[in-house]
Amino acid sequence: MQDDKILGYQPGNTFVHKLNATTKLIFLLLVSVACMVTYDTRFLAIVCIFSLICLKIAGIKWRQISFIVKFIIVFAIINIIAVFIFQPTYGQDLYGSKNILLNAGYFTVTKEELFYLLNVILKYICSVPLVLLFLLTTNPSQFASSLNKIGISYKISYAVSLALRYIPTIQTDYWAISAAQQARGNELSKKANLGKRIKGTLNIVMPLIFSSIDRIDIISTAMQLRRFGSKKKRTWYVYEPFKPADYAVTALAIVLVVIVAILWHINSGRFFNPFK
Amino acid sequence: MVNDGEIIANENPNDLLHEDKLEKAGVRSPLYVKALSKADIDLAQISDLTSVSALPANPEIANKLQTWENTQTDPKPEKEGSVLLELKDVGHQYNKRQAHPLHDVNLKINKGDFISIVGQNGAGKTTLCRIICGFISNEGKAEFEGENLANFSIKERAEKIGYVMQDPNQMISQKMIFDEVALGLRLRNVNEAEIKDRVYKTLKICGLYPFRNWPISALSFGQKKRVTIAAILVLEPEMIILDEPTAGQDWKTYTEIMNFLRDLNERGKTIMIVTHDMHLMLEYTKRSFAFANGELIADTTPIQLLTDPTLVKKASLRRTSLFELAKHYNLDDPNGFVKAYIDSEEPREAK
Amino acid sequence: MKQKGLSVKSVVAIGIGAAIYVILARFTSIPTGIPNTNIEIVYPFLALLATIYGPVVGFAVGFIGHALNDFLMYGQTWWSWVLATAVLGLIIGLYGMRLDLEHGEFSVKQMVMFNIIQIIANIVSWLVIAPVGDILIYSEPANKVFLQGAAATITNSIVILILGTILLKAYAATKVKKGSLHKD
Repeated sequence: MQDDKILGYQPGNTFVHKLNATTKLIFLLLVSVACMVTYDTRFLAIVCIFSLICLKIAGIKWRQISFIVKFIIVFAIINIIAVFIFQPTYGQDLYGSKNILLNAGYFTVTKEELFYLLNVILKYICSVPLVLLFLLTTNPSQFASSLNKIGISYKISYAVSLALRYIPTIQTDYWAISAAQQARGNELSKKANLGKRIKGTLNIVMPLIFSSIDRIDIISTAMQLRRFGSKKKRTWYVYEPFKPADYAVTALAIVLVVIVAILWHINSGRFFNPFK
Repeated sequence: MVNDGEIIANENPNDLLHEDKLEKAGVRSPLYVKALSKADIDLAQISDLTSVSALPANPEIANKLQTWENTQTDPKPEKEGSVLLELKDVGHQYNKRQAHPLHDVNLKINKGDFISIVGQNGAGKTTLCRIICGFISNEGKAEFEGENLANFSIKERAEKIGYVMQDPNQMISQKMIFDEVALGLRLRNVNEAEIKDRVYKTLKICGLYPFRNWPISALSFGQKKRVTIAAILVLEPEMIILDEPTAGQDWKTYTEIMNFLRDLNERGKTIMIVTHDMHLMLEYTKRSFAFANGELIADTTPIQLLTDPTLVKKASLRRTSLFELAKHYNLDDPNGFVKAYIDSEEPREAK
Repeated sequence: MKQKGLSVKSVVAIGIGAAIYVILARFTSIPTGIPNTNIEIVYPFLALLATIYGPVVGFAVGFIGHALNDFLMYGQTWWSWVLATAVLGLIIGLYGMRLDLEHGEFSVKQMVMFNIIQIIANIVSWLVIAPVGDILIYSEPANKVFLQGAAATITNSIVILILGTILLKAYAATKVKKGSLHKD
């Protein structure tokens, strides 16, 4: 019933929408890995800007993602504060120098530490726009078939597509059961104490889990009747061959990975150190 | 044909229809076959009973049917109760992409009504139930006994309006039947002695008393359905809404449930049933709301609904085989014939 | 018929299991009042599923479920913790192969063993895999990650101890033992 809060596929006609799901997946994976590996601030900043531009091109509106973005910001802030509190000297250790900005004993703030935290934030946010882009522009069944194309076994890919297909169904079940339980008298809001809330949640979760587990039996019988799994490979109904645009985008992803490798060489390591 | 774990018949359908094994095993005979029996027509004389169109064009049969129809008397007209639930311009849109959201529903449900809600899937029937029970927000206003329902929480509404969902597995959360039926009372802090009393009483009404010490996992689907009805009944709401209460039930259980609901209704409870079963609608309910594409297109008696070709088409209802039977034998008034049959199924005054 | 690789039932169990994981993760967190610490029913559920369907399903549901949920809720996946959840499912699933919930069996002795194993699994996942992953992949400071790991180990072990045992017992109870019923 909370349709809008789910991050789901929105059909559209932009360049990004038209790309093959496999292309988008490869791009997303390669670039995410690249961003994970490197701590080169210049690279991270450029990828951030680039992915934000891509979001614009795909016609994604703020209100579609505002909920998620707020979540991420909160999450990122909590995490950096935690990182800072636990080891305020981490930046100094990484960059090998100490430029004090604010003297406060254990919590002394150094330029190095701030720079490190900046990098942490960049890493959180640089690939987020790309993921959002992927989710909003890719048809779920194409996503599953694209997993198969990059080499993941078709059984696992099919399991993923099953999961995506059943998330809305189980969500509806959850709301129905939750409503019925509330009608019986289970109090789930903040008004009830912790013990009652746990019991109330269990009263919803158990019928949800057990009835969903029953589905497993029914569906697997249906699939067996259709001879799923009897061969090693499988063709996909939604399969589309690569177009020139797809090759170009894949090439771009590979170029980015190569750049990271080069930067690693230039920086003699993961970190871009402006303090040396 | 299977009964109590044994195969009791292995024949072709036409033979089965000529015997009375069906009803003995709790399976309903087709209505047109029952109508022929009621009109004292000897089924052994008819070779092919498998469909209305296969019946012989015999004027004697037509006469017997017409005679029978003419001898049926009209039942007493119903007295109308006070307004219990009133909906004004009610509707709900799930999301912007919905093609036909429920809208502008205006109706008054009276105390003691026995109502059926019909219409295609997606027409808005379940949405209406959810609105009444408070599971989703609504446009417009809903009033129960004059009070605005928006002031009541879901739990409070449940004490006035009980809702029995279609899938019993979504309602059941306890292991033992007793605990499941007692749950609502326990959550309202009723004392154990009173709980035992009320639960046993309700179990007896629902025909579940012999199973009172059983775990729910041992029950059939139909029995689980009855447990969910019992769990709602025990809270003694003024009005009960049931979503497809007889789906998946054999005729014997279906009759038990419907008779018991009719009994409740005669004692004063207001009952609303969402159903696809036209027979149920005709036989038991006195008033029908028909929905199509998010709109209330009819608020009338079941017989008037089923005999209006425009409404039948708009709401995609299935015509009863009784109507086909009457047409097949060119009876004067097919609608009257159907009505006569329905009236003949009413329990007689002196019981 | 001997099948190569995953059976159909396992594939479906992974798919549906991951879907249930996502819904539970999204909607059934109960805050405890302690900041950033919630009661997550996902882990008891994962324990149940791994016990019924085995280590491979346990690993896959943990992996796909956690990854999908991160993806859909936060827009990014925290791979080290995804792996940790997957390993949790794997270890519990390994022990699960010795149990027989499908026939209503869950004795006290089995309950105790189950909980010992789940605590060990939690330690491996949150005190070893997650922190090490955080350091290697995300270059986070050591004491932060190990403290986080310790907190997770304790909370999740307790949640599985209480709610997980209840869930497994309830599931076994839905499977009726032969010959135990009479009409009264």
